[in-house]
Amino acid sequence: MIRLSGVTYKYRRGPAALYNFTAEFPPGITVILGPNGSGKTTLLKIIAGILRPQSGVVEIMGKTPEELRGKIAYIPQTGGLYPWMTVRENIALPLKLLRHPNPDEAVKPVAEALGISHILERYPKEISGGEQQKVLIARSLASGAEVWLLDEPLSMIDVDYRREIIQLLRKINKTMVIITHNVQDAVDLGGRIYIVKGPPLQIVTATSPDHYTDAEKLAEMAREAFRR
Amino acid sequence: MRYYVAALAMLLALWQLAAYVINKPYLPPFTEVVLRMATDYQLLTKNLAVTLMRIATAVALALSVGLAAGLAAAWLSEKISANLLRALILLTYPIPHVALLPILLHLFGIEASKIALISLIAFYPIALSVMEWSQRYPRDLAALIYTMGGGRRDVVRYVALPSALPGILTGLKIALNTAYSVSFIAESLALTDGLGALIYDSWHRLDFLQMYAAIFTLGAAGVSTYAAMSLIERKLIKWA
Repeated sequence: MIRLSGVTYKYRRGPAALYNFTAEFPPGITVILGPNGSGKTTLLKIIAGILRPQSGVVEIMGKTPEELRGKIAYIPQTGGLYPWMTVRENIALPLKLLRHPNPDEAVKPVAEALGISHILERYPKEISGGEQQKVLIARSLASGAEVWLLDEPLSMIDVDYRREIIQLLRKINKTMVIITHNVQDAVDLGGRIYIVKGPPLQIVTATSPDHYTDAEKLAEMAREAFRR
Repeated sequence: MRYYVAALAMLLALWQLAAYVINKPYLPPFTEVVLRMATDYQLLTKNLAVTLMRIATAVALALSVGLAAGLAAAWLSEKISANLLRALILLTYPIPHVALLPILLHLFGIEASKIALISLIAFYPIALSVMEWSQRYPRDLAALIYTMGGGRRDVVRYVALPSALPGILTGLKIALNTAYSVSFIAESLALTDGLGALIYDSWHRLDFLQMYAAIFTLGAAGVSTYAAMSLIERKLIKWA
């Protein structure tokens, strides 16, 4: 369970991205659906411990993000892979940081499970956007992270990989917060959906898969929410 | 590669042409210089070995001190020391270091002062590139290191240093190139040995053929070093 209470974050310029923001994200998939620039990425970075809020409390399984370092997988929208490391080194990195005795060996089963064994010795620039996304997921799986934070994981990949990545994410049984601005992605990911607007970020509507049946209905809900 | 060969051929042809047009002893034709190189082969290789040894020692020294100083100035967690070190490097960089040669001579003696001068001049491009480039690392990737459970040292090891490697290698290339130029000044000071000394000595004896043979040898060594560095760069930075 992730809890945010009274969280405020303001960049040096512009309005507050988050102001007195309070929310709870239970185990399983939570999709945050909202327009670009509404403060979704800032929220994710605060939960990941990358940004420190000026006020408010962030609690993940009863701990602060700093206390939970090594147990959080944050997958940014772009550039999450280290260009100077091969795919194998990228996946092994969290294990090395956590002083795993044999990080390179530990990569093998994860790579096999995700079907990326053939690209292990390649550099990120040598693989496709979809493969890069799979490598990021492999890295998070290898790290054994309890909390997954994904920023627009489907935005840069083609249709074939999209289906595969969605299936992968749905199989991972962890607390997962996924942000997207795409209604179809929100529907297909199949978790609870928080429709948000901002800045400052605010949850307009919270819904679950039981309350919608298709993207069209959800899109209508989102449009309605943004009008309010 | 073929463009480099073509450029070299063009340069040598121009030299040959200029030598015939000017027709003075101070600009002999390239073909005569080559013949003299063959005659003086042993003398040239003996002096080349001395010069290369001096350059290698000096640049190795500059690299180890420059790397340590540059990293400390960028990453020392004790901010006052880091800022002081940074100011010290930036403040002493524009000084014309060749002018310090008399002081180095008194401090280190004839032989060691040559290495000290080359090393001092090679130090700055290395220290400055390490200092600047190791701070230009991608901040998002560094933040991910902390999220994945790493610390400051891991950020230096896995993010700052690899992302700075292209810049550091460029600094090293500049340092090596400068070292070749400075070796002439350092070696012509006390005419013991080395290609610099040979160039200076033959110039003063008006033995222009030998002077050109030595200059060409030094130049060829400089170009080969640069080519070798570019090769190492390509091997080390496969990801770029």
